Amino acid sequence: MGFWEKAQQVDRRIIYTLMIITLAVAMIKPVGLAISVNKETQMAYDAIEKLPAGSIVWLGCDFSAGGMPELIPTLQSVMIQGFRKNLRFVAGGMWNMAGNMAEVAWTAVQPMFPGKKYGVDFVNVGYKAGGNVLLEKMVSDAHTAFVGVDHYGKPLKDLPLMNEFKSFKDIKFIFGFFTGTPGERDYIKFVGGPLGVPIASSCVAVSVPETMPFVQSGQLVGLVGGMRGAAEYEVLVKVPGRATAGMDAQAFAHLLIIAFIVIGNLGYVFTKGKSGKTT
Amino acid sequence: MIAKGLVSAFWLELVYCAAILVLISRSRKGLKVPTVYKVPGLDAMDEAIGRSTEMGRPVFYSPGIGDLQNAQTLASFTTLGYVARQCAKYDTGLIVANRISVVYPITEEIVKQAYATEGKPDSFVPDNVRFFSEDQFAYAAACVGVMHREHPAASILIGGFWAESLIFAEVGSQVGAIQIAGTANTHQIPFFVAACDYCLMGEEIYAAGAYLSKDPVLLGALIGQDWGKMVSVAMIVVGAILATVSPKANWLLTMLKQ
Amino acid sequence: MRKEGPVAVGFIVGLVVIIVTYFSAKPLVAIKGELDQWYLIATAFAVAVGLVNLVQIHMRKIQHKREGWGYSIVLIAGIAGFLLFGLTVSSAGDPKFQWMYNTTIVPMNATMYSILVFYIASAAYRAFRIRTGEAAVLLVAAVIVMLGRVTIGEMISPMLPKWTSWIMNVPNTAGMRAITIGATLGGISQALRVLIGIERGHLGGVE
Repeated sequence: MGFWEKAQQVDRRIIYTLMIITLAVAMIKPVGLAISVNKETQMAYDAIEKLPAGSIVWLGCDFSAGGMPELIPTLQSVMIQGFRKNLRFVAGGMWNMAGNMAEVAWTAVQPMFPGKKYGVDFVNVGYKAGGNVLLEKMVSDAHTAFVGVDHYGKPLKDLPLMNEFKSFKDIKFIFGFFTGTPGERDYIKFVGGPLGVPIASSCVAVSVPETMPFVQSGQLVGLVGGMRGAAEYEVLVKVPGRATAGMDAQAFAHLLIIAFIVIGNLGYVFTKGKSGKTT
Repeated sequence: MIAKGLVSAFWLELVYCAAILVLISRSRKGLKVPTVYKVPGLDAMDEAIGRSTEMGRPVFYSPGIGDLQNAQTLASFTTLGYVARQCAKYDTGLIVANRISVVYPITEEIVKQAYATEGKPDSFVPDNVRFFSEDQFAYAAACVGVMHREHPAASILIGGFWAESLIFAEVGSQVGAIQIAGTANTHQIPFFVAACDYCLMGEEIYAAGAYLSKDPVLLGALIGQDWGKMVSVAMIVVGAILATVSPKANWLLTMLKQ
Repeated sequence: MRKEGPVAVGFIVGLVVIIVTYFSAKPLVAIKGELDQWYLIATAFAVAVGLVNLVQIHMRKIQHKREGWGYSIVLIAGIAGFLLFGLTVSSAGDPKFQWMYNTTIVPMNATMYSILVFYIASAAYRAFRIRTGEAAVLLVAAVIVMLGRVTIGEMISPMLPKWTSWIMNVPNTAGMRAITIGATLGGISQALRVLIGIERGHLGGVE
């Protein structure tokens, strides 16, 4: 088999090995490439900046562990931005890891703001069953929707912040973090549309194409897409974190994939010319 | 009377559903229905099952990870019924992998009925219709394991798929299965197009029932879908012209926002 | 009656949900609320059905010592362990239960999701061949977007992020909208066919 024939049939184990090496080296020794900010990310940031101090923001943590690298950095950055402005957050969601994800973010951010207290500035209501039925109930009676307790089993009536948050009508902004369904469409359908509460979304990169129409139509006021968007948000709040560190790895991984695509196509072109057949 | 923000949606949906019902009624009366354009993915079903039969390997079927509320899962049941009947007819093994526990008894019943319809109730193997896990990636891992152990010659993935779609498609390719995939989730269609042999995009999975059965009544409903699309295209064209020419007096947008 | 009964129930329940969605009629809102609760309870019980199936299959595998039966023991032990521990602690928010969940389920989920990076590399290498004009357009667009979405793209050319933005906002969004409109219309048609009983795939697949 000639070189160009082999180029079309590179063993996938070689591809995987090179990918591991590329990612590992880039994460251990980041280069620190500059990151510019997209319009949609800026829109989400500006929307939070416009909120008056004391506003209650709902953090919809509707994602699972797979979305952590792309969404947790944005979640943390939003909380940092919000706590600087004395916003208050209630986190929860329709996915069963919602409480865990919110806890990861609060645990990371709270030491930066020692004055912020659980129950006063932040509440984690966690996962509540029901899917989009939960959202429907939260529109009228959030405490019943949350079954009266937070993620840790504490009664909501004992948490001062929850005495001001009875339903989505008390919320000034929704920032959702999504990796699938139920997701932003349910918030737009059940909350954004009927109540007019502004919604921004942070989603995994693969969901950006299908979410973009909602930004263009104004149903979402901003979109933080994938790890790139998370890195941009870290730039905006001036607290570089895991997303910024991960961008180098993502950049080199993309280059590796493009290199293999080029090699495969060169192999295809040169062997097609020789044999006259398509493969 | 109609909830705020849903007035236009209500009337549009009412008219659309009425059109479908009228066409179904016409089809029932035996009036001629146009033919449907060829959908390679659906035509390939028989080829895939035939390949499995010849190679003596099973067919792997996944109805997606959506629950019963998801129309894609309902569409998948129709395709599963057809695939199960074909597998029963040719004594080809069929493994059905379920993620949602509510979906599992339904798929089991569909496959069981298919074998009974083909006159082979004893050939139905209950253990071949399996529930794996409600967790998305636990389900994906289980399916990957099944594909590597059972080496299916055909992998049919019709329904609602999310992040695990590429995992199924790549592993199917690794084990040498012919792959027919279909989903209405736009974010996963590119992965299926890249990694599978045939891909049904969006509404094609809803047409499967009509296409495979050639039932004139179901074909009539398909025409209603096409009428709905033509109205949508007309609204898009008019809306685009209005948005360009007189953005402040866009009556169509105002009407749709009601 | 075996087929007409479920179809009739489905039609009535579907009609109630549709009326409540559009008209918010007060008596029907309460009925819909009840139906939502029934759905949650039914799905919770259905998990038990799935669990029984899972345990049966793996117990048979262990009993007959089929290939991989050792892993079946691990699976049964995992199910039993989580179930027993979850039933004995006070709530899912209990720190010990959270620790179990965070140290097992969360990393395993993240690992499976991360496998995608390898699969996308091999799928892209295999699939993106310039066999036709359309494939060439797909390839060029993919390369532009892959470079434009990462920081290295801006270093190569300041136009790359702009072209990426145009590709994502214009042709991609147009295509996504078209597929979404078609799929939504198809979904409504599918739902209508199920409601009026023309499609009976979910009732056993026999027409």
